Amino acid sequence: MLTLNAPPLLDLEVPNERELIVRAAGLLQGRPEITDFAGFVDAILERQRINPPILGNGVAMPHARTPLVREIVCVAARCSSAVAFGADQIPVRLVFLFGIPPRRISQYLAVTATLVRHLRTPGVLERLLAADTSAEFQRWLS
Amino acid sequence: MNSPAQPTPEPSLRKRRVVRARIWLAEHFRFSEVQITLLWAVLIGYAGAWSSIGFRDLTERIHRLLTGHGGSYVESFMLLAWWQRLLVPTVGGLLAGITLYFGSRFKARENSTDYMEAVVVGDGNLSVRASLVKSLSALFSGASGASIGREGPLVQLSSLVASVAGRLLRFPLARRRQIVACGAAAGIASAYHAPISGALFVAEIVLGSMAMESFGPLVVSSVIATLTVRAYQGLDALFAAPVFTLRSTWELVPYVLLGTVCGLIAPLFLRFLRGSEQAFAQLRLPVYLRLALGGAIVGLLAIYRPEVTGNGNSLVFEILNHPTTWQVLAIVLVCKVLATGATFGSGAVGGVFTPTLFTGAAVGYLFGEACRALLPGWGLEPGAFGLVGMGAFLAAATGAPVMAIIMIFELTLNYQILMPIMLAGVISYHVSRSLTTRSLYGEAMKRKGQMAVSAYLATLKVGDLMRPADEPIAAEAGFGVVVRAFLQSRREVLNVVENGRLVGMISLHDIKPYLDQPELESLLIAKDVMQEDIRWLESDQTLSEALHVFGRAASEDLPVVSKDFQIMGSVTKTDVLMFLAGSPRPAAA
Repeated sequence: MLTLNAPPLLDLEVPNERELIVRAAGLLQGRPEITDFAGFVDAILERQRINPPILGNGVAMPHARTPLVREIVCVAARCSSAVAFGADQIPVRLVFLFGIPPRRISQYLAVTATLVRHLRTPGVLERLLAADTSAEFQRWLS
Repeated sequence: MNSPAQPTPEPSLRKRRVVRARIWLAEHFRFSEVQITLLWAVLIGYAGAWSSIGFRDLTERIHRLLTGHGGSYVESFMLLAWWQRLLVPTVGGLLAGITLYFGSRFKARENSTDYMEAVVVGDGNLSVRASLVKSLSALFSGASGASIGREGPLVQLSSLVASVAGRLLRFPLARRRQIVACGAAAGIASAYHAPISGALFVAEIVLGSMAMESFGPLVVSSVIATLTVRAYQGLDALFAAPVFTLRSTWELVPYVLLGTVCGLIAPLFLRFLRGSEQAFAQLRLPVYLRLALGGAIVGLLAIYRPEVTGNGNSLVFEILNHPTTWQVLAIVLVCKVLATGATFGSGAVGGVFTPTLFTGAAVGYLFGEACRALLPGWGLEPGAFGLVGMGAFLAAATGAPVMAIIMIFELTLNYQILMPIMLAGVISYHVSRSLTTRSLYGEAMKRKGQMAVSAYLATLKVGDLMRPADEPIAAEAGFGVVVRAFLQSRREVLNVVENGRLVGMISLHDIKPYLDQPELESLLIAKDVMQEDIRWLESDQTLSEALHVFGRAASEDLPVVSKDFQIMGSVTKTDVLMFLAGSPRPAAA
């Protein structure tokens, strides 16, 4: 199952989509997998601008395929109240943020498909939204 | 703002199964370029065989009309009075020449009328009217007893059928050239009931390549053509002969010597044919008088020896089965070579394949007679030498020993004689090559196409092979659009464009396991799953450069882009390989 590269941020209070993404991406700052953090954040925001990747049910998966990332990385963040994403103002409480090297298409698809299937398992999403600690969150994720 | 809803249920199992079935179908029922060409090769083989059958029947009818007799040419000429023997080939030559004279104004400048030139040099476009004019001329020559083979017009007509099909169906250049080559193979195969040789003839002599991309379709066309002709004309070998056996390994020694003799004589034969051509050219006669003169010479020879008429089929059969005395055969050989020189030199349309077979068979038989006289205790059979001589002479004259060896086997279906033919054929080929690099067909190709070959190959670029590209997909298109594009088009790769410029490709291989997961549609766009490290071609690249690019590319279908990365079309690796397989070797004569 999915392993996060940093403990998730829980119960964030953020005003908007951009702030949520910047805060979530901040978990990866200084990680050796990211060669240019600012460029990486810009790449994610640019991808959001094109078409925000929203799974539904309050879950979004912002990501960027960029050579600024050496390995696939993933972090999670949860808001205490829903934040509007995209032009359609879709409410999001939980984000899984990915960084993907350009050549890892198959691996990224496999990770994404596995996560999506896991989130559709009855009860998992509710438990992730209700988890009190990072450890509990990660336990339900795995 | 709404609060998050409950998870939506997964797509139904039935829906997933339907999508998986569609993916499986898309993967397994996708026809590759080569497979499509093979399918066309079947049709071309069938059509080519019927064009050959039609031509042959028409020739027989006209022959009956001119001579009043059916059967073999030799037999019907024997039944004619002396003046008729002179008149028929002369009139036939005149008619053939008049046809060429009045038909010459139909000769298109851009389309080739020579099948070898069209395949090797050109774009697979044979001129319909000019080809029909040449075939009609060949019909008059052949039917009136000219000493010339019929494989030329048979191959020409069969290739023409393929060329017309390729043009009407707007085939890309490489496939068009390939199916014209298939037509040529079908023509040879149906002329000699020889499927292997038909394919080898075109591969070895015309294309100069045995690459499977080009050889496979040739084999298919040859086999279909032969089966069609056999169904119509019977299953017999063209030159059914008694079974000759090799009694002792020592018998190979005279066969080796025969190979050497054939290797020495074949260049003289070719030189004689060229000399005849030059001699007729110096007369500066109009084409109808030139062909009439050629026919008259054949007629004069036929008064003395009617055996000189026709392509020589019945003579070869006679040598192998009911040989006459060596003295008579020697006379017939000389007269027949003179008649062939007169017909070929006058410019009659046709081929010299069967006359070459006869010359080789006669030389071999006479050599066998000499060996039998010198080595009476060895039990040598001159008929077997006739067979071996036929193969060895053909190998040297055509410069295609593999085709020659297989051809003799197919013509006679005599396996026992294959070993001596292989030995003598290879020796004959090398002896002949040491004397001259010219060959029967190489000479024709050199004369008709060398300049064009150089000019054409020098200018040919990727843009010449380009075909319209499949509709690209926008970089921002959703994953659902990508999935539907793969399911509907049965493509393996999708080109991705952004602002009209090529930016990547999506490989079916990468995303195949996820095509049945509609939940990914809202998460991914084309840009997320495209490969950015892509290869492309430019229209001004040479085909060698293109092949180099294909060598480093995962896809066998690459887009052709302009300087500003706009997609102009696409080229497949098969197209390039088929084309390069059809390019002549630099050293080819």
